[in-house]
Amino acid sequence: MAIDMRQFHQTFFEESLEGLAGMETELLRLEQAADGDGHETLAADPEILNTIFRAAHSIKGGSSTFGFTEVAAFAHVLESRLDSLRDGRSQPDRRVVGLLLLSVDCLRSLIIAARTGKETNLNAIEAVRLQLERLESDAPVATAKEKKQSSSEATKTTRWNVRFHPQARMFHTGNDPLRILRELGDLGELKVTADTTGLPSWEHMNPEDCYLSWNIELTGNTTREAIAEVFNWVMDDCRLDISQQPAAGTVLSSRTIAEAVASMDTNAGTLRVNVPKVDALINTVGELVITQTMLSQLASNFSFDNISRLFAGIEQLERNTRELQESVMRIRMLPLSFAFNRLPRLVHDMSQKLDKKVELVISGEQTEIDKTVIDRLIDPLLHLVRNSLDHGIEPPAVRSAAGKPLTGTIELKAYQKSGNVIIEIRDDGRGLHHDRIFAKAVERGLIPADAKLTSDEIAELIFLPGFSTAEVVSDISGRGVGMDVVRNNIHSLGGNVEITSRAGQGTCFIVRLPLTLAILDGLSVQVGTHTYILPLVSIIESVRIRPEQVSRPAGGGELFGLRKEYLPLLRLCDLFGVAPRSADLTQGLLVIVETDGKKAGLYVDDLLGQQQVVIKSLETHYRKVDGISAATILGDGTVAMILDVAGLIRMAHAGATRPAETPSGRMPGVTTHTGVNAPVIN
Amino acid sequence: MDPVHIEHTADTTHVALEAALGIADARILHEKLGAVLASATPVVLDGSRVERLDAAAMQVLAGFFRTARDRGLAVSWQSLPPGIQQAAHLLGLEFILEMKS
Repeated sequence: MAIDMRQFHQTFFEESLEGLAGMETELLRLEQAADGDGHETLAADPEILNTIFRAAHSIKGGSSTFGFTEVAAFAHVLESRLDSLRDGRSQPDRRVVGLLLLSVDCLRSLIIAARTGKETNLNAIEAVRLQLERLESDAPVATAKEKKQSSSEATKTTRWNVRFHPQARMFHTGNDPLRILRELGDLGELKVTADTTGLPSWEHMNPEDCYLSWNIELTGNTTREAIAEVFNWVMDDCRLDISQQPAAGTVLSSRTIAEAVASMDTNAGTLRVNVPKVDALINTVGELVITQTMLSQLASNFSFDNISRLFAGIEQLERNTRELQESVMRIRMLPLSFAFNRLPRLVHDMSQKLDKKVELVISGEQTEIDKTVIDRLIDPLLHLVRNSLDHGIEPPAVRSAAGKPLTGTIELKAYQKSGNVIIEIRDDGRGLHHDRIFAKAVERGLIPADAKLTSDEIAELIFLPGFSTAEVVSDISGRGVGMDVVRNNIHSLGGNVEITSRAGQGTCFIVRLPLTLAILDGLSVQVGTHTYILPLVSIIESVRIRPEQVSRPAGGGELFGLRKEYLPLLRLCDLFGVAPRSADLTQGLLVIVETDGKKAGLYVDDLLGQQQVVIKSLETHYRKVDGISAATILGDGTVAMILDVAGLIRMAHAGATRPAETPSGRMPGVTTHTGVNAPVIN
Repeated sequence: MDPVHIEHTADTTHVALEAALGIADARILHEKLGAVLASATPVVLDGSRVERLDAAAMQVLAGFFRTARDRGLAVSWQSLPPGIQQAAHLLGLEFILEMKS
C-alpha cells in the first residue's frame, strides 16, 4: 500500500523553517566574531559550520523525498558551497556570509511558497543561486588566492572598509595621518569616521601623542595591495585592517527576497508542544477521571453520612479543573524567542544599509507568552526596533562627536511582572527631540500652543495618529505606518506601550502584555440587575462617593474630585441603558480605572468579587459594541460583558454619557434581553 | 611665533590661528587654548590665516571643542578657509569641530 506522504509535509515545513532560523543565527554569530577582530576572513568555528551544513543537508534530503524540486535544487547548491567551507577548501569571508544569509532567505521563501501555494520571486532566487554557483567555481580562497582575487576585484568598483588605528607615537615619527588619508583619497571616494573615544580629558592630553583612530569606507576601482601601499611607511606604527564589503547587488536582492517572504503568511495555525507539557496534561486528565469515578460511586450509593466525602470530592474536582486549565493554557505558551529570533537579522541588514554600528542585546527570551500574542506581537516589535535603529541610534560620526562609543546598543529585555509580560526596547541613541515634537503637535492642531506638558506627556504625543517628525520619510521606518498603529496593535492584545526618553541618552519603549488572550483576571461589578467584568489590570481603586466630590461644569459631563485631580465620571447604567439600583451616587461605588496614563471613574452599584473569566469574542458571535471588548459566561450560566476600559475612558473624556447604541435584534443564543445588557443563556 | 593670537573684548574671546599649525606647535597650541577654556565670554575662532595644518593640530582643536562643549562654553568659527574644512573632512572631524551640524 502506498504511503500518503502529504501527512508528513507539515512536519517537514516546520522543521525546515526551524533549521533555517538556526542557520541564520549561526551565520550572524560567524560574522559577529569577525566584527570583534575586524578581519575580513572569518575564523570559522567548525561546530558553527557543521550546524549550518546539517540544516542545509536535512532540507535537501526532505525536499527531495517529498518532491519539492525547487527547494531541493537550491539546497543542493548551498550544501555544496557549505561543504567546501567545512572541509577547508575555501574560507568564509563577509561577502560569502552575506550570500549565505541571502540563501537562507531564498530557501525560506521557497519553503513558504511550497506550504502556502503562493508564488515567490523566482528571478531573485535564481540570481542568488547563480552567485552561489559562481562562488563554487572559484579557486580556494585563503592567502594563496588573494592575489588572484585582487586582480579580479580591480576590474569593478568595490567598497572597502579600512580600520586605521595609529599608535600613540605616530606623530613623533614625523608621520601625519592627514597626509595618509589624502593619499588614500586618490584611490577612490572616502567616507571617514574618526573614533575620538581614545581622546583623554584636556588636562591629561599629551598633544604630541596620537589618540585618534579612523574607520574609512573607500569606494573605487582599487585593490587591497594598493590600499596597503599607502600605509607602507607607518605599518610599524599602527594597526591596519582592510576588508571588502559585500557588493551592492547583494543588498538589493536581499531586500527583494525578504519582502517576498514578509508578504507571505507564515502562520499555518499549528502549534508544536514539548512532550513534558503534554505529559503534564495527561497526568491531570488521569486525576480528573479518578475524581469523576469517585464522585459517580458516591452518587450511586449516596447517603447523608457521606456528605463530607462528597464535599471533599467536589474540592478535588475543583483542584483538578484548575490544574487542567493551567496545563492547557501552558501548551499554548511559547518562549518569546520565537518573536525575538527575527530581530538579529533585521538589525544586521538595517545597520549595514544605514551605515550604522549597532549591537543588539537580548535577554529574557525564554519568558513564555500565549502563542496568539506572539503571532501578533512580531509586527509591532519589528517596528519599534526599526524605529530605534533609524531614528534613535546616531551615525558613527555623530556618536563620536558626542563622546559616545561608535557602536550603538539596542537592548531587548523581557520579563514577567505581576501577571503581565513586560518587554523593554531600549536604545542609547539621541533620544526624542521634545521641542520638535511639541512644535509639530501644535502645528497639527493636536494640542494648544500654550499647553503645559511634562516631557513624558510630550513623548506620548508620538503615538497620536499621523504624527511624524521625520524631515525625510526614510526607506526604513517611514512606510506610512506610524506609532499609532503600533499602539493600536498592542492595545488589541490587551496590552499597552509607554515611552521614556532622555535627550542625548536614548529612548525606551515599555510594552506590557497579558500572559494570555484566552483568560482574564477580572472584577465583576453589578449595575442594576446585570453583571459586568472589569479587567483587574486597569483598576486602581474603588471609592465611596460623597456628594461634594461630584461637580458638573457647564456643557460637560460629571467630574469627580479625587484628592488633587478631577476625573470624568461615567455612569455605566446610563451608558448601557440599565435601570440602576439607586440613582443616588452615594449609594453605589466608583471604580477608578486607568489606561495609557488616562483615568476615569466608573459608577457601579456594587462590587461582586474577583474572578478569572474565559474570554469569548463578541465580534465573532455578534458584532462590535462600543465600551465592550468581549463577553464571558459566568458560573451560573449567565453571559456577562467584559468592559473595554480604554474605550470607556475615551468616552468619559469626550463627555459621552448618552446611552450606547442599542442593537435592534436579539443576540444569538440568548433570550429575553436585547442590547448589551447581561443576558441569560437559553 | 605663537600658533595662536588671543584677544579679549567685552563680549568675546577672539582666537586667531596662525598660518602653519603642525606637530611642532601642538604643545604650545594646547597650552594657549587651555587658557582660552577658562574664558567667561564666548570664543570666536578665526581660521582666515591658516595655510597648512596637520592631524596633531586638528587633534588639539578636537579636544578643545569637546572640552568647551562639556563646560558649556560657546565656540564658533569666524572664518573657515577651504584648507581647514578639507582637513576636517578627511579626518572625519567635521562634527566634533562643529563645521557640520
